[in-house]
This record gives sequence, C-alpha cells and structure tokens, in this order.
Amino acid sequence: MITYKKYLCHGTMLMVLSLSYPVLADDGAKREALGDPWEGMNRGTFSFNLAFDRNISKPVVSVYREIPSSLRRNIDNFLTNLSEPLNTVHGILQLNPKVAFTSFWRFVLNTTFGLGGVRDFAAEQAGLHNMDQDLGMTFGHWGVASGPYLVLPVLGPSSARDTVGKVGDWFLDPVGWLLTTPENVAQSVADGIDERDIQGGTVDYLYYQSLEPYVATRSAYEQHQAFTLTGKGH
Amino acid sequence: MRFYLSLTLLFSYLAFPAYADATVCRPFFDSMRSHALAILHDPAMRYVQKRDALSRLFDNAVDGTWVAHFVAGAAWRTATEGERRDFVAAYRAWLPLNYVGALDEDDINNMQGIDLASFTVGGPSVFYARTRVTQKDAEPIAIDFRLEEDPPGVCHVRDFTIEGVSLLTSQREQIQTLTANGGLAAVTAQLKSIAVTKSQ
Repeated sequence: MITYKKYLCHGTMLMVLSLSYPVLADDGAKREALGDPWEGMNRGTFSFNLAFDRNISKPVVSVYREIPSSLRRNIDNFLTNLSEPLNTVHGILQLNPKVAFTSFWRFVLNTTFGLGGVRDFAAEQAGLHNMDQDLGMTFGHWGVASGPYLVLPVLGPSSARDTVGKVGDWFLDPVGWLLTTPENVAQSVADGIDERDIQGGTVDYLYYQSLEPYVATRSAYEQHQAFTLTGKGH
Repeated sequence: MRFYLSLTLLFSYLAFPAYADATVCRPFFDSMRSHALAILHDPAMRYVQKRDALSRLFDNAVDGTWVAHFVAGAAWRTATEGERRDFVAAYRAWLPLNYVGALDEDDINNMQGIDLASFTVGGPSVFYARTRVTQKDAEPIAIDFRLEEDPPGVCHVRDFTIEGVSLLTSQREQIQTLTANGGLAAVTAQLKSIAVTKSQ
C-alpha cells in the first residue's frame, strides 16, 4: 500500500511540475494572474456550495457548537497538531528553516507535553505558533503562478495551483501514510467541521452578508492568498 | 555652485511639507484604539451595546463618503447628482452594519487587545498602522489601517485590511459587478433593502 502511495506521489509530483512549468511568473504578477475564465462553471459550483453550506455544513456545525468551547479548542489543537509533520515537509521544500523547525518542534512538544496534541503546549510555553502550510503555498514560494480561479465542490474557493496542491498534499502528508483510508476520510471530515467552526464568521460574512457573495468570496480568497504568500500572515 | 546649493535648498524646503508628520493621525489612531479597547473591556456593557458603540466608532473613524465614491468606480461618472447622493447616504448607513454588525457575541467577547505592530509614513499625508487583534481562544487577527490627513488637520481611516483582505478592493470589485448589471441606482436600492432588513 505504501509503495503504491509512493508511486502515486512521485507520479503526481512529476505531473504537477510539468503542468506548472509554463505558468511560472514573477511575484508582481501573482494578484493579476488569477483570472476567472471559468466564471460560468465556478458560479454554478458556488451556488451548489451555498446550498450545501446552508443545508448541511451550518446545521452540522451548529450541533458541533453544543460542545463547550474549551473542548472544541482541544479538538482543533489535536487536528492542527496532526498537520505539523506536513508543515515541516513544506518548510523543508521551501528551504525555510523557521517554518521547518517551528513545525517540527511544535509536533514534538505538543505530542509529548501537550497530551497527544490536545493542548497547544508549544504556543503557550515556548511561543511557537502554528505556521499553516500547503503544497499550493510551496508552489507559490517557488514562483508558480496561481493559474485561474477555481471553485471546488464543498471545499470552496481555490486556484488551479492550489487544487493541484491539495491533491499533492493528500499524498505528501506523513500522517496520512500511517492512517488507513477510512481514517484519512474521517480526519478530513473532522477538519472540515473544525474549519467551518473556526472560520464560521468569515464564511457567514462572505456567503450571507456581502453584496455579491461570489465576487466577495473570490476577492477575499485572492487577497488572502497573496497576503499569506508574502509572509505577512506570520 | 551657489546656484546649485540654493536650488537644492529650495527643493528640500518644498519637499519637506509634502511628507507630513503624524501629529494629527497618530493621536487620532491612538484615540480610536483606546476607545475601541474601552468598549471591548467595559464590564457594564452588554453585547448589543458594545456592538452599537463599536459601530458608531467605525462610522466616525472611516471616511464613508470618500470610500463610497471610490468603490462606485466607473459608475460614479455616469450617475446623476441625485443618484450619487442617494448612493453615498445608503452606503454610509450600510457600511458599519456590514462590518461591525457581522460580529457576533463570541467575536466581541473573544477580542482581548489591539497590539500596534508599527505606525509608518506611506506618503504625503498617508500613514499605515499595522495591528494584531489578540483573541482569547484563537490566533491573533492582522488588521492594518490606511490613514489619511485630508484636509489638513483632519485624519480618517480610508482603508483597512483584515488578514490581507482590503475593504476598498473587495467592495469595489463587488459594486463594479453589480453596477454593470443595473447601475448605481440598483446598488443603492439593494443597500437600502439590506439596511431595512437588518434594522428589523
């Protein structure tokens, strides 16, 4: 199974690199490069996502919020800790020792002194805060342009680069290699619920309170991605 | 030689007032920040009172008229004077509702501090204040303000970014899409209808 995954991982990486090569761009073009040539299809997917959020995500999260906030915080800490090995990998891929060491030590400290990750011991005691990374950011770090804007079913706003990155992360994640497929799916669902809970205010604002929800979401996504890539987010 | 020296001195003298010092905007920002903290930490105020007080503070600090003009984009040029006036009034009423009104009780209770990371000069009469809003149960939020002293002696917030997302950019993109379909009057009608719904 691991060999098969490794094969898929190498194959995906090669495909990603070959697809990404023609769209290499300089930093200044990052914001402008993200056009929306698939707007018709994206608006359709966005409408589906709105309906999905209204009828499934929001009701599920409102039940989840019956859990005391301190316990939800523990769940969030635990899930965040599971992402630290992948953040470490991205720190290495970006040749960014700050991200690599912070993520590595966060995982070590939180897994041991943080009771398996339910407490964010590293942030509380050592001032080491989470530096969330993904393959899309790593591509961006190496100058790969975002490509067109893309709305993914259920997952929401993305870009061509970040979509390829999401697929790549599925294979790159060291924790994912240790889990069975049902466990990986369970982790992804838990991540989704946790994320909708944490980002609830932002999602509600963009989906239900903006003048033009589709454009508001696209604009927020593009600007936030640029902000994260320039490192101002940390 | 004396001619060149005089010319240099003249240009230095002319250039100096263009880069205003922060004697107006820095106290304005400090006052806005301490006012916001006083509201957030007031134990006698309930959620709705805090939200309304923050909304008034927002309305006073942000130059709503200037922002309305900017976000209207190209539609401003083709609109009649009456349409412009109606749009500015409706937009100014809607803006605090949209930003501060979106904060729920947990959001307001979670906010703990507003740490100033830097206060820098961005150009003639333009200043940037980078802040981190610390929260009880979550990571800090980066909120940066663009302040402008215009007219001299009066400072306003003319843009702010929340985690990199700018008020001006987001609003302009949305309003340009909407005005392309129905003009400024259609957006004004939408803003009024949202304001009525929210006030009920």
